Amino acid sequence: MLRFQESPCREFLRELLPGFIAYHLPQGAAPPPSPLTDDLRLAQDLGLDSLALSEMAFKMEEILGFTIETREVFDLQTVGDLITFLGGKLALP
Amino acid sequence: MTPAPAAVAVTGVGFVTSIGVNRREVETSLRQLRSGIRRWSPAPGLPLPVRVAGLVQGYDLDSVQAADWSWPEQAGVHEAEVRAMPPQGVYALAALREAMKEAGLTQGELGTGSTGLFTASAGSPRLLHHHLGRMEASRWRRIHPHAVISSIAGSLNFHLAALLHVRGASCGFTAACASGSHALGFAVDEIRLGRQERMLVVAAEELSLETVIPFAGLGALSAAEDPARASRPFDVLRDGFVPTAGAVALILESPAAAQKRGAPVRAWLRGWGHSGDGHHAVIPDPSGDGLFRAMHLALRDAGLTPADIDHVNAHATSTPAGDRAEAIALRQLFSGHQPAVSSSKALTGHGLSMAGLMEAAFSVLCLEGGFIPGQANLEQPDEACRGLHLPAATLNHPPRAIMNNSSGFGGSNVVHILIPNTHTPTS
Repeated sequence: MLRFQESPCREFLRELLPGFIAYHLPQGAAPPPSPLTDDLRLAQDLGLDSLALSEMAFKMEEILGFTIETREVFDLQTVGDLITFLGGKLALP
Repeated sequence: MTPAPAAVAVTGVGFVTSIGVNRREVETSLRQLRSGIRRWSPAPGLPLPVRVAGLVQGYDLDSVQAADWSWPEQAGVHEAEVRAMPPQGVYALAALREAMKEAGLTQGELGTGSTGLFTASAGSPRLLHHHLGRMEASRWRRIHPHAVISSIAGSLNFHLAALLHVRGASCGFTAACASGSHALGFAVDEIRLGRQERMLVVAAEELSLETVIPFAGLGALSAAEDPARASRPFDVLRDGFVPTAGAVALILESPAAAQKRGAPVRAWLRGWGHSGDGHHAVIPDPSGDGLFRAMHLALRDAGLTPADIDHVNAHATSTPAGDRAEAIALRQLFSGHQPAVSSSKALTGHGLSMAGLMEAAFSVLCLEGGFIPGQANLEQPDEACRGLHLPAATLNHPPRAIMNNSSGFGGSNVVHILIPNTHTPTS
């Protein structure tokens, strides 16, 4: 996380995401597959429900220092969408 | 005379309390009158109106961040299970799993629709305070998704029901310090009415400044500094209650369901009754009439008389008004035969909404072990107790029946009658 905060880029974001998603998965959900490919669907493939997505959005705001409306996260469908969304918010290279 | 409704079997109990985190520790504490009350300094350096509390050993749930909590490995609780729960959810899950293990129940048996879940808890004022503070600081824009579900009074019920896939009747009870007792009483009825064959009953409370300090505004807290002597039910020097936290779980089953599974019957819930004082939002009716009527109704429900009761686990929280009203009610009910009366809150402190369920579970241990705990910290009984049998030491006397009393704000009174497992159910 420190490395990401010092030198944010999409590559580091991709490295951080599996652990971040794994932490927020509901009880009983299977661990996320590795590698975490862009086509994986957040709900159907990874098991992230709306509560988990809301919690992730709240945590992202806290850690990354930008503003997210919860409904923005609900619109995201895939891992690729999430990376694009976060990269855009952070204006990452 | 109408025959008494069927008794309901208690097939498992689970404890996370200040006097022990399993049945062996709790029974030893009850027999030896070992106190769980310790010095408590939740805000070091501040002149708080309370200095002692009944502390659960081995659990640290003080943080507002669930990721910081810790608990004994043997509790069998996983971090992901409790991340969105109030702190007492950890206690509750540990106690419930212990009770289920004792009853020989697996989680797979809970999802058939014939098992229900009743709970009692005040929620988490601490987490509610924390989340509201953050929301206000963000001008009400940033709202943690767990703000509601980790703090409201029903949180225990909906988390446990979802986690354990309970598909039978499911709800929480809020009647202040009688809540756990209501949950147990109505669970008995749920089985008697044939709606469920099994009920999980769980009560749990957190211990925090936010939960406890508001009671100082009512003058209800003890200001005592000596943990060992702070909680003194029925004693003239009592000056208020000592708070405690934790969880207790009971598994109730119909006689047929227990027999079908070959489950060990620990004790029988023979009957219960409840009433209202109709008097004051906080202060008990000084005549004790409300509690008297609840005791009478419980005995009638159980098909027993006052002469059948050998022990009363009194509600007595160590507050002057409450203890006095209960003593008067007991004197009115018991004339001639005097059961041994004691309040285990002298050892545990007052568990608020979980108190009545905790004391019902203690009563199960007393019936199984054949003993009656003495009244700790009683040096000079209040004048109102004249004629009551308040043994100072534990009696090695198997009680034939135990009456478990609880009262909450508004004069909400609940009484359970428990009898030993040697009883044969009539229906």
